[in-house]
Amino acid sequence: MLRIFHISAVFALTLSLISCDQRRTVDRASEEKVLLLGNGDEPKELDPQVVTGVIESNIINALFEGLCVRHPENEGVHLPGMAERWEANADFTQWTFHLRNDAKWSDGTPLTAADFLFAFERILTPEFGAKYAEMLYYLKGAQQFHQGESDDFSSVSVRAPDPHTLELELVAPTPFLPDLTMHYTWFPVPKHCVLSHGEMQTKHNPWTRPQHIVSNGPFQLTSWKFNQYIAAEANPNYWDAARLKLKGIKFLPIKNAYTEARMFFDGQLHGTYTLAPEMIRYAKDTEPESLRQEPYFASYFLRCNVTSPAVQNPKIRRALALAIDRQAIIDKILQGGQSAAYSVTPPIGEYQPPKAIEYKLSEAKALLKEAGFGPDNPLRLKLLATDRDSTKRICEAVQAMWKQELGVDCTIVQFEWKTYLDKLTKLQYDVCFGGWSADYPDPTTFLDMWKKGGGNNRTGWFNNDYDQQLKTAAQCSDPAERFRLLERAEATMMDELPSLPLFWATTNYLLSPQVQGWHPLLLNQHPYKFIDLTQP
Amino acid sequence: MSTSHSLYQDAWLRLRRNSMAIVSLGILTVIFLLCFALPFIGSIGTPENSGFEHWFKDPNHQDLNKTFLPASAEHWLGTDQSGRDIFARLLYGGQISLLVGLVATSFSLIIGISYGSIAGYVGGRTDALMMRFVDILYGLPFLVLVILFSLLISEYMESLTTLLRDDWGWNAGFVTRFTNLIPLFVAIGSLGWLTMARMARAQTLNIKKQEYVEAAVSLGLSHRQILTRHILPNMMGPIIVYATLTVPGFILFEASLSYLGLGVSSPNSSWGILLKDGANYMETAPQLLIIPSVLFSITLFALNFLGDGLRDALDPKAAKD
Repeated sequence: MLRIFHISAVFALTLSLISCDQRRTVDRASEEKVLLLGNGDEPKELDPQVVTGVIESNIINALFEGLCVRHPENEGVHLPGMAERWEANADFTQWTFHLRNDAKWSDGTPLTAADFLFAFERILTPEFGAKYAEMLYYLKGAQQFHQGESDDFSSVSVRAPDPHTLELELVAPTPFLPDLTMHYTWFPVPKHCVLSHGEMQTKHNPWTRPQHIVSNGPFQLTSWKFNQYIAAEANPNYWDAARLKLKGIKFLPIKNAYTEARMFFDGQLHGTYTLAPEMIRYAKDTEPESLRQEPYFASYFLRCNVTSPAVQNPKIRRALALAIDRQAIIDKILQGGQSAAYSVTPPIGEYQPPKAIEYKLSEAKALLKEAGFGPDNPLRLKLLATDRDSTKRICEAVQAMWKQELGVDCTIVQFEWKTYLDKLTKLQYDVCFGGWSADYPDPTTFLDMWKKGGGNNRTGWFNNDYDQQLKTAAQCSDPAERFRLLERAEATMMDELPSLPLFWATTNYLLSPQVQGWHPLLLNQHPYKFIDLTQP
Repeated sequence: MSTSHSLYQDAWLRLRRNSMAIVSLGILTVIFLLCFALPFIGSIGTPENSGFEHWFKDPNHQDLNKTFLPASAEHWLGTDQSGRDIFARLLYGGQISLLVGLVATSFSLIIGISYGSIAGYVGGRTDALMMRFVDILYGLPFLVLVILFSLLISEYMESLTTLLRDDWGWNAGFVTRFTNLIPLFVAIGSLGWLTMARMARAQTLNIKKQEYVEAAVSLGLSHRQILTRHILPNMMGPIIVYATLTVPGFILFEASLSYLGLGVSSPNSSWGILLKDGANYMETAPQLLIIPSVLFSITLFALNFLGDGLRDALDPKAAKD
């Protein structure tokens, strides 16, 4: 009896200790003005000129800042960032950016036009091997320099007449240049810091480690606890530091979208960037005020490695594309109001992508038979995917559709993000599930990546006609005519299907009502400097 | 007239008096038959000429128009998130989980017993050397080793798959399922024998000093004869008991590997995978988690009770009650 008393006493004591601080993690964090965000996975790198993924960009946008800054509510408005003001000539080919005098790096070093020049030279240096260098091909001479036709960076037309002025000359009329400068490939990097930890062209330069990194954005990196969190705190040397309301941000690499959602409902996160499909319904029932469903300029597709014998034949690729019942995947698995894609680029404004693909089993079967495959000689494929659970379900659905309707023997191989990117880049796959979210609100953000040798092409596919059509479109100054040319280019690509369109995304995520200043944006990139947290 | 009973006959008599163990044995038999015989019987005949496939579904056949259905005559336990038959997936998953348990245990029996009994029988420096090697392996984290090991082997599995399928003409579906499991079997089995080796060595050391072994030595029997005729049969009791207790351990281990995404590959199922997937729908479709958990727990309990019963039956001296 005494023993029972002891046990219950210990139990009661433990309970009372636990209940000392009953507030949820988010409430405490809100009080300290620290934003807790679920960020899907561990980033591969934090170097703006190396990374390519959305996960990385979510963090880099907090740490670095380009010439212009995104508006918190309106995608068409560009706010001054590192540049105080800018002007362009009449046909948008000559741009001058005036950098602010008080721009500083987080270590106090002044930020000058030289840092921008260094960053541009770094990303364009062929030996550096940046995957995303073609984002700067808008600069006159950039493509030639990057492809080794010229080894003198002065042939690229960016000039710094004085430390606070940057003059750019572009290949073609580009009214959306300010949108581009908000993409991390255009961000400056601290020349002094990068060079003290390696050469300019050193790819795995340790300057982004927490103990070394110097940045110019509203926040600076404080710690990177692998598989726990990446923490950033307000940067006191930021030019607009007075406006900052947050004291810090923590990015949590939670791979399992269900776990992430549960952590949110349990009060451990202020927001997520994604939401598992089944959780949409659950969130609607339990916390409708936290559920956000917004349009998102992104597309999902299956890349085909056209150098692999399995899918080398365009007929096979077409058969595979025709056999996917996209609407069923959207209705039964995704459940987030996505739309079935009939081409890679989603429609935007006046841009109407070609209706290249639909769900047509009979044609798919006939095409596969023509290519010499059938039930007695099954086509064998490896489908590469990341190890996220929501990805697994989509891949299993596609796998079953191919198996049940075409008799295709498809094996799913799942890897975590870094290995996945590595296999993708080295073309060690047949078919690969992937997506692309827009870097700026224009169809070329989707079309440029499929150019010959593009760092994000990753299919081994190229077509000189396609490259030529894109070039012609880039030279066109009439917006409507330009869109028609781009549509024609996309049709050329969809004839050969280097990637099989799946669906055009919407974004579904969870956000606590405590978060202020987070508005629906088509690119789903929210400038953290305007965000505030209210008290619970 | 009284007949003499062998060790195993005695043990069987004692086991029969342990009702929990007998019930567990019955349950295990039923689960085994369900997992291995039912899918086999159910898939006899092709869809054209047999009615069987109507009551036993293809575990990987999905129908996105029939997701999360409740139990019905068509789908005995309903359907899962992709419209696949839960009952079929449960039994096919059971095949893999039980196979992993059994195969890994036999691996560990074979390696552990030969290694341990040789170390114990030879003794001296050889024994010390062999057991220090076991100690070193013990010191390494098991999970990490198994993951490394299975990654290492899976490199070779691709060429094995092509060999079996294209050169030997084996059934493609079977080959993929089979080669998919080999890394798991080999990795778990080849690292799971350590405790078994220690037990076998301890038993050997004990039996080696018994009078009947000394008699055998003085009769001039060879080392091999002594090992196989006297030492091995006499140490089987504790070993069998330990083996029944390791089966659930390995099944659990496969479950945790699958839970980490390192087990069998999509779309095949194992109990671990069913649990992992089911956990994602905890809020919205709890039956997906509950059904495999129940069967899994029943199997583990039964194996544990049977192991306990066997220990009491084979080694009455050790039994406390």
